[in-house]
Amino acid sequence: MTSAKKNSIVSIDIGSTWTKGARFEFDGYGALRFAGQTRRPTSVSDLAAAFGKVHAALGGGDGETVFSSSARGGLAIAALGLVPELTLKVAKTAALSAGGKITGVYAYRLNADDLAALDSPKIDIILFSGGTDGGNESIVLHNAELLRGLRSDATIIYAGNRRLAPRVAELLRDRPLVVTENLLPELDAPRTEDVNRAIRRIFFEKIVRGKGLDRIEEACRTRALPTPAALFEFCRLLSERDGQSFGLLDLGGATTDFYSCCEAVDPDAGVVFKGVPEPFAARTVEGDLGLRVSAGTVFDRVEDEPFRRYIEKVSTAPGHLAATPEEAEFDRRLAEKCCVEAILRHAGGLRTFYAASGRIEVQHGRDLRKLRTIIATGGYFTGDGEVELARAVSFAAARHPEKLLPCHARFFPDRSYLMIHLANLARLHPEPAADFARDYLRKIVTYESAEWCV
Amino acid sequence: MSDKGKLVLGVIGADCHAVGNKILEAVLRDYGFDVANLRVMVSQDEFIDAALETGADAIIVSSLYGHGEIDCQGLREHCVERGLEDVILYVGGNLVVGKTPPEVVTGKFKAMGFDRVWSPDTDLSEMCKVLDHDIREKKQHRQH
Repeated sequence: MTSAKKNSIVSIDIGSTWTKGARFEFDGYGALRFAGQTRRPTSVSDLAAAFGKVHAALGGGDGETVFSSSARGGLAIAALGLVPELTLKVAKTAALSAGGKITGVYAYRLNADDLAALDSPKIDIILFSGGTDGGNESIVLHNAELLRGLRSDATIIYAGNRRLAPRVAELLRDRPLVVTENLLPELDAPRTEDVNRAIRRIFFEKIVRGKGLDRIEEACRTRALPTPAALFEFCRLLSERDGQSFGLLDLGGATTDFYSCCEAVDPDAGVVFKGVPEPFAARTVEGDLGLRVSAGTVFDRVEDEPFRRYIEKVSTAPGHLAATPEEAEFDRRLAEKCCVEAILRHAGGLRTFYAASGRIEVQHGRDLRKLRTIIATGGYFTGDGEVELARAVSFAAARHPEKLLPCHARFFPDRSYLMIHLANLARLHPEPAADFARDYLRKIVTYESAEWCV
Repeated sequence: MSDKGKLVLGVIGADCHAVGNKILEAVLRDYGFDVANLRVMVSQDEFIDAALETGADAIIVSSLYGHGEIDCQGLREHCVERGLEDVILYVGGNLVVGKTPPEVVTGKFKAMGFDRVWSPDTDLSEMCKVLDHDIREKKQHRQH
């Protein structure tokens, strides 16, 4: 990394369909100014090609370059744990917060069918957990024995019962293996930082190198991050800086992601919390909610005939843009449903019990009620799309009174599709990037909020 | 990690009595057990999830609000179903509403699959010794 502060910086995000880039320049006061953006179609066989074109178009010869990638579907991780609500849940959380895509989940003892499914060339990492430290041994060892039969190149990360680490390392010594600290050493103390670091290292060493991105890394002298990991870190930064709860919604053609940074349990709420403690920052991904590839799974039933036909059409046309006002309305309906459903699934809930001492509320999952700011990003928000997210969330709150929804949040659409670029910039220049984000978002027309809330 | 054995502790059902639970945790820890305390309002599944993950030797169930019998029904069967055939099950507290002779209460809960049933005036250090013995016996038994 060069120490001299360059005048300009280019961010490039390599997506599955499009490679997008943006250029920013520092003014005399050290603040960032937007200097243009462009995009080129991603060429699957040579990721460096589109990158090169975008880089050149943005005059990226001088200055710094930072990039992220979600190409070829991103980082594919299979999660193994013991009990679904305990170690497996933490494993999923760790994989998602590291920017991965979860290809499958496995609990308890693996069998031959599970092994066959895990032995796929499409899986990059197998996150193998189970047992608290000093806890269960028999099931974890059974699984380690079975995993010896894997023939694929997937790297196994062992993040289970620490007492078994030497035995597991011995059993799996003939294949790519990383041993980290247990992601659930005790039931009320999940620890995912070590696993995150390992996933990130594997991404650099294996995925980047294997897919031609290493040439780019060498040319730019910076490392790549998976796109969702860059966004995740940026959310954390923004939330820490302002001391405020903060959310980000990323609406795509195939998935809808939601990121929240907030205290998962409100200490003033007086509830009993159940389950493994939630981290401050969390990401969930809904693979069945999207505007194009996943359009067919957004609604259970569509009775409106023209709408149903539109959904069928766009499911196989990832690049389609709404061509008529009617199609724009269809997209609006899809967008609203994806966003609200993703938030509903991300949010926790309360159950009320009546005991001799009075009413008790038990909380599962994350309390999003104090979320004040939610950025909505994704190609949809750059067009004329008018999803009234605050109102939609309020209506959802009325239908699901037990869910802990962000009724008082203001939604800020990322109209120029800059969030991923700001996230990339923030890796080198956190303060200027965060300042830019704050000013950029404030200029956007905001949706009404509080008065709609139930 | 201590030698005396691993426990999962909690107050079952919609019962939120917390003080006794904290005392129990302290006494058990002092004696040398490794305690995972799930605290209050614990469901059967939560007990079993925790026992599986921590490799627990025993599950200690408290109930103080009188509805323990309903909450505990099926616990032993669930343990077996989920792969915890030989876990030791203790239950204690105010287990019934009204005046029922202690032998009757003990009989009911033992029939449900609990290994030992403890009344509200139990001497906790006595219970620790009995638990210690039961766990050692189980481990020896397993080795044969």
